[in-house]
Amino acid sequence: VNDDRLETLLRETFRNHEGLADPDRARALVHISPPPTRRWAVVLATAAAVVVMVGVAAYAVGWDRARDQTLPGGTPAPSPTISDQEPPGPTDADYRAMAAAASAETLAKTPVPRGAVRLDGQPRGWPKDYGTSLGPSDGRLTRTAWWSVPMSTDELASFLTSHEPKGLRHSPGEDVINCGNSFGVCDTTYDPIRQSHPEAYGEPTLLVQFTAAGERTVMRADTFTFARPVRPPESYLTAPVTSVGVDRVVPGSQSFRNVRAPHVEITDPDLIDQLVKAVNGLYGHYAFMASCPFAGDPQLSLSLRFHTASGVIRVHGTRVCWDGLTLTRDGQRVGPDLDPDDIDKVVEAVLRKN
Amino acid sequence: VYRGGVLDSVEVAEIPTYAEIIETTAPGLLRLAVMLTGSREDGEDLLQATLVRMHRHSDRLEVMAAPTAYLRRAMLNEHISASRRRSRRVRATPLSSLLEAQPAADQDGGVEARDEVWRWLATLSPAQRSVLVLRYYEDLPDAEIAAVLGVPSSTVRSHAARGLAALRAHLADHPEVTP
Repeated sequence: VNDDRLETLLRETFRNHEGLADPDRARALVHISPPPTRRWAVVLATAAAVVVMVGVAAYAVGWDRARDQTLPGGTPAPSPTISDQEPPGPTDADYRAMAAAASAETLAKTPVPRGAVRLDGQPRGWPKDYGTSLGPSDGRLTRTAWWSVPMSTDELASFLTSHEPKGLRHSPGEDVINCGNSFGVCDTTYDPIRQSHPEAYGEPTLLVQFTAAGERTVMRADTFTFARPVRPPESYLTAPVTSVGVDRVVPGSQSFRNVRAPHVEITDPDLIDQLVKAVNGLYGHYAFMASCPFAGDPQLSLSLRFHTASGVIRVHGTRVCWDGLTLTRDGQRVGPDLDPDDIDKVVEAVLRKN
Repeated sequence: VYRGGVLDSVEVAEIPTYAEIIETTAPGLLRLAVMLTGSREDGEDLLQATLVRMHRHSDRLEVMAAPTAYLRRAMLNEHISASRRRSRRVRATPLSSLLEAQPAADQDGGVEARDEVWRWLATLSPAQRSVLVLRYYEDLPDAEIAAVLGVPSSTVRSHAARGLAALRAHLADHPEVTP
């Protein structure tokens, strides 16, 4: 029995047992499932109430002090000197606005064949549940456009293959155009060639999908990007570091069998400097919600403890899917999670030299 | 609006509510759950466990570009984790699963082969079965399967190749079954 026959047999087997799944039962289960528990909402509301109360109290105390200081005969309080202050840095909102602008700009680069007509929205005939995710991306920053193209799908595939917008290129892979799904939709992805502001947002990727619609072809373009949180100054390592403790869980020789690597204490100043630079070079992490499958036990992880005269700064996190690294100072979290980027490779290199 | 090769406005995709997303995707998710678990009851349990988890992330699900892909991934995660938990304890077989109506036989005896394959699928590890389900039922490319399962594409290919080889050997051991 050849592979084709076996593959066909598997497809037939799955299809033949679809009847075990009753769609009405599925919809009923949706309503049986318990409602969401919103404990965090209660916690947030309580925290907000405490903050407001503390703020009001602080304001009242400050107002009383100010009034006392400006009473006749008293010495006026000194005014803050604006010239001594650092200029305000970027905010999360700034980064988000930059990402939104880049998303719109990327959509505008979509290669559109001559004679194509822009549509107001999703036309009839487009598969209802069809969707594709492209790595970490924020749906609120996705920009979408539709066209009706006077070409066959083969002609459009050829057009898209030969047209790469400025600043974008086809994703590397075996096929530029992918048509291997049961929805009858083909797609191609354009990746950014360079990152304009890697500290602020993920350079948008452009996904173009298309399917036949009579003698024409419907084409859809989507952009995918995300905005990073701003990393505050106090999250950078500035104090002299005397040693760095490295603890890791790394892949074992067997699949799904991870092992704890022995603890290593780095004391070489040059190697410490490499680790400090690596951590200081990390950007804020976009918290992409990913439900990732089991990837081993115990979970892959990395922990770096930077020992300084003023305390311990720890950078740690699990290393599965798109998890970020958490930075703490003496146990207190500082700033947003950090995008791990290639820090694993830096740590590997440092450990090899140690 | 498209004018002369330049876009001068863009549209933001309309965002469905969590309830709409779940209501729409539930039938497809249940089919996937049945393919992964091999039975109606276990499939329904898996769907419900996935939905319970998803309730906690309903706000984020609403703004995702591809909630279906996300839900699928969540279900795979739940399935493999639950399989590991179950493997540590003795498990009762629900009586109703033994009473499920079997598909009617067709002219060429294909149902017998498909039933045999269905039983054989139950002997696979959750990860290996997941690869076969995603590849031959969901029709996902290997790269996407690798992303969903969090393993390299080479692992997906080897799971699939080993699966086909094992199925070939299984059918060879059952000459009475006509593939």
